[in-house]
Amino acid sequence: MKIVFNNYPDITKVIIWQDGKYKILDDDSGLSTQGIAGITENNNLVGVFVNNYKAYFVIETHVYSLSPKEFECSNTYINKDERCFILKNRDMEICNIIYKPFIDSGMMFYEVDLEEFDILLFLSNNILNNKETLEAFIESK
Amino acid sequence: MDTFKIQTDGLKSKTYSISYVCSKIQDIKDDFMNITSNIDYDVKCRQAINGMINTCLKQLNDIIYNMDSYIKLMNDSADSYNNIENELLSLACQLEDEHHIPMIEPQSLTDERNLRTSQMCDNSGGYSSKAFKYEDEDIIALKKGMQDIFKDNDYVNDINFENIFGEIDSDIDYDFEENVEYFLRNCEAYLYSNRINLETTYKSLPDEYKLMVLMHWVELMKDDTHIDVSNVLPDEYFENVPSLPFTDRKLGNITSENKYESEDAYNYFKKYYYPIQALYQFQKGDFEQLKRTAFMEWARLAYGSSKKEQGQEFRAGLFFGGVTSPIKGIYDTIEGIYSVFTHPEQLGFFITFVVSLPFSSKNRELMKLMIKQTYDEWKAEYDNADAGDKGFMIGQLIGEAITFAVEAGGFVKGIKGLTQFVKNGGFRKAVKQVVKMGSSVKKLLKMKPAEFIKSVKKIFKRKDHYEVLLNNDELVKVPYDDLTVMQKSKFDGFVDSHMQNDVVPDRVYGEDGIGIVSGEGTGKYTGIGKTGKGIPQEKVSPEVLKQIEPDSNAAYGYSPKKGTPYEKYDFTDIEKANENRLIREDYLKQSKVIQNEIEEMTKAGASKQEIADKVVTMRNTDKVKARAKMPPEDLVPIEQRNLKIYGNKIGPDAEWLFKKNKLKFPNKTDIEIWDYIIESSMKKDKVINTLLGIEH
Repeated sequence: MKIVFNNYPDITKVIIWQDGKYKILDDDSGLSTQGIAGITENNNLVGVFVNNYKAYFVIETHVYSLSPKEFECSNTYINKDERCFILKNRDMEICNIIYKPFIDSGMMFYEVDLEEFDILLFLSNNILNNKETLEAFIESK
Repeated sequence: MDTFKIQTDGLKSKTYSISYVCSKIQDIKDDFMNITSNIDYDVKCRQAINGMINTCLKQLNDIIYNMDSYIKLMNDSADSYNNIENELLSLACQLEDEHHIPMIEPQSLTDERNLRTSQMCDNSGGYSSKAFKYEDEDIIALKKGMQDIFKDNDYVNDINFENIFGEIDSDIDYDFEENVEYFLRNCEAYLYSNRINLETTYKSLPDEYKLMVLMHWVELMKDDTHIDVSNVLPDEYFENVPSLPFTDRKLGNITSENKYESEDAYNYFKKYYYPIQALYQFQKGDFEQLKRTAFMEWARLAYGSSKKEQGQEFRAGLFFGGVTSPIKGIYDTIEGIYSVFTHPEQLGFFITFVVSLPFSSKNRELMKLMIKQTYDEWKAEYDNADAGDKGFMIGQLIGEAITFAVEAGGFVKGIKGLTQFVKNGGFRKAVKQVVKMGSSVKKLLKMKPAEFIKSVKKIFKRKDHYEVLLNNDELVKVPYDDLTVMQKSKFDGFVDSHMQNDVVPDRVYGEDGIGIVSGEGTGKYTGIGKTGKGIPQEKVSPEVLKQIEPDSNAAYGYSPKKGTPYEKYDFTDIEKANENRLIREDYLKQSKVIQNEIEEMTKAGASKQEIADKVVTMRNTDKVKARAKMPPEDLVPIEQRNLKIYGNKIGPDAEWLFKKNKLKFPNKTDIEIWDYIIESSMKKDKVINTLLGIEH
C-alpha cells in the first residue's frame, strides 16, 4: 500500500508512505495526495489520509480506520511545557502522544500561529476537530 | 454594422453596372464612328445602338434607384461618424481630466460657436462641461427682450439688435457683444440701485453658460425681480456645472486639510463660482487677491473644515448677500454632513448642491426642507441635545440618510432629482429608516449575550462598520465611530462568537467572546495589578478569562491559567512585563497602518492576493523589528526553525500561507483563502493584551 501525503508544515515536500516505511521528497513530482502528515517533535510520523471514502490515521507503521461518528481527539496542555495528543476510535485509544510543542518565542510581542510547527495541533484543531471536519476532509479527497 | 457592410457590398456590385454602362456607351460611340453609306449596315448599327441604349437606360435607372439609398446611407453614416467623433472627443476630455492636461484659457468671448453651443471638450480646467444648444428663435427672443427692457427709458439710448435689413437675426457676433455690454452697463446704472456688477459677472462666466445666464437675467428683469447673489445664476447652472475636482495634479487628493493649496480647485472655482462672487466686486485693483479671498470662503464649503477650522465661525460668500442668521443653522448642518463623510467625493452630486447653497435661494429652501423633515422625524433626540450641537446633529442625520438612500440604490443623481426625492417623501423615509436603525443599535448595545444570540441571525465585520442581521431580517449597520472602545470590543466578541460556528472553525487561543463577565472564581478583584494599571475585569471577555485569572501580584492584574500556552511566561516580573508591553504596543500600532494600507489598496482595485502579499510582508517586517528586541537565546531557535522550513529566518510569505491554508480549508475558494490570510494578519491576541494591560 502506497500513500502520498502533503507534508506539514513544510508544504514544499510530500511524504511517501509505503509498507510501514516513509520518505520525504520535494513536491515536484505532481503526485496527487491522499492526506496530510508530518513529523512530530518526538520524530514520529503521524497523518490522516482517505482511501475509498474512508479516513485512516497513520502513526509510524500503523494504520487505523477512523469512523467520523465515533472518534474523539483531544490535544491539551498537561503542564506549562507539554501537550498530550490523544486519539480514540470507538472508545479505543489508538494514540497517546506527549510532546513539547515548538512555539515562536516572539508570541509575547506579535501574533503567532500555534499550529505553525505543530502537526498534532494542526490535526486536532482541523481535520480531527469533530465529525463535520473529518467528513469535510473525506469529501475533499 | 452588419447592415452597413451589406450595403457597401451592394455598392461594390453596382460599380460593375456603372463600368458596364460605360463600356456600352463606348460601343455606341464606336458604332456611330463606323456608320457608312451602306444602308444594311446602318440599319444593323441602328438596331444595335437601340438595343444598347435600352440596356444602358435600364442600368442607369437601376443606378438612380440605388443612388437614393446610397445617399441615405451616406447621410446616416455621416451622422454616425459625427456622433462617434463627439463621443471620442468626450472620452479624450475624460482622459485629459485624468491626466491633468495643462489648462488653456477660455476662448474668446466673440467666438460665436462657444456661445451658441458649448464645446464638447472643455479644456479650461479639465472638467467636462455640459453642451447647450440654442435655437435661432431663442437668440432672437433674447435680443428682443434686451431691446424691450430699455425701450421706454429716456436715459438710455435704444439698444438696437437689428441688422442692415432691419431684422433681428440670430447671429452672435461682435455687434451682439457690444450691445450686451452696453445693456449690462445700463442695467447696473439704472435698474439696480445697489450697483451689482452684472458686466463683470457676465465676463467671468464660462462661455458655454453665458447665453443661459443672460436669458435668465432678462427673464428676471422682465418680471421686475431683483437680482442678487441668491438668484444671479439659474438653477440650470448648478444642475449642469461640472463636478468638483477631488484630485490635484500636485497634491493628489484634495482634502479639507490641503484645500487652500490646490491650484486645480482654485482654477475650478475661478471658472465656475467666481462669477457669482464677481457680482459685488467693483474694485479695479487686485482682482487676483479678491479671487483668492473668495476662493478660501468657497473651498471650506466645498471641501469641509480642516481640524483647525472645525468649530470656528463658518463664513462664506453668501454673506455678500446679507443673509446671515437663518443660514447659521445650515452651516452647522453642513459641518454635520461632512462629519459623516470622510472625503467630499463621497457626497457625489450632493456636494454641488452644498456648494450652491450660498448662491441659490431655491436650493437653500430645499436644504431647509430637508432639515425640517429630519427634525420632525427626530424631535426627541434633537430637543434634548446641546444647543450648539443641534445643527451638527441634524447634519449627521441628513448625511446618514443620504448614505442610506445611496446604498439602497434608490437615490437620484442631480439637484432636480434631489428636489423630487425630498418632495415626494423619499428623503423622509430614508431619515425614518436611519432613526430606526439608530434605535436598533441602542437596543443591540443594551442586549445581554443570551438575548443577543437569540435576536441575531448573522453579524459581519465590515471596513468601517458591523452589519447585524436580526432574526426578523432587519439589517442594522453599526458604524465603528458610534461605539466606545468597550462597546466595540463587545461587538468584536459578538462577531467572534458567531463566526466560530459560521466562518472560522479553527479559533485558537486568545480570541474573545461576548463582553459580559461571568464572575465565576474571580472574587471581587478588579483586574488592576502591581503597576496600578490593568483592564477592569468587567471589560474582559469571558473567553479571555478562560485563559487567564486575576492575580494581584501580576504586573497588570492577571496571570495565565494552567494548561494554556501562556503559562510558561511570568507576568509577575514587573520590569520584564513593562518591557514586553512596550515592544507589543509598537507592534500593535502597526495594525492601524496595515488597516489603512488594506483600505487604500482595496480602493485602488488591488486583488486580494496583492493585498495579502503586502500585508504579510508588512507583518513580517514588524516581526523583524520586534525580534530585534528579543534576547538571542529566544531568537536563535525560531530563526533556525524558519530557516529549515521556509528557507529564511523571518517566516512564511503570503504564497506559502495560501498553500498551507488550502490544505487547512480544502473547501474554501481562493478568494476566501486570501481573505482569511488578510484577516489573520489583523488578529490580535487579546489574552496577551490583557496580560500586558493593553486595551484592545
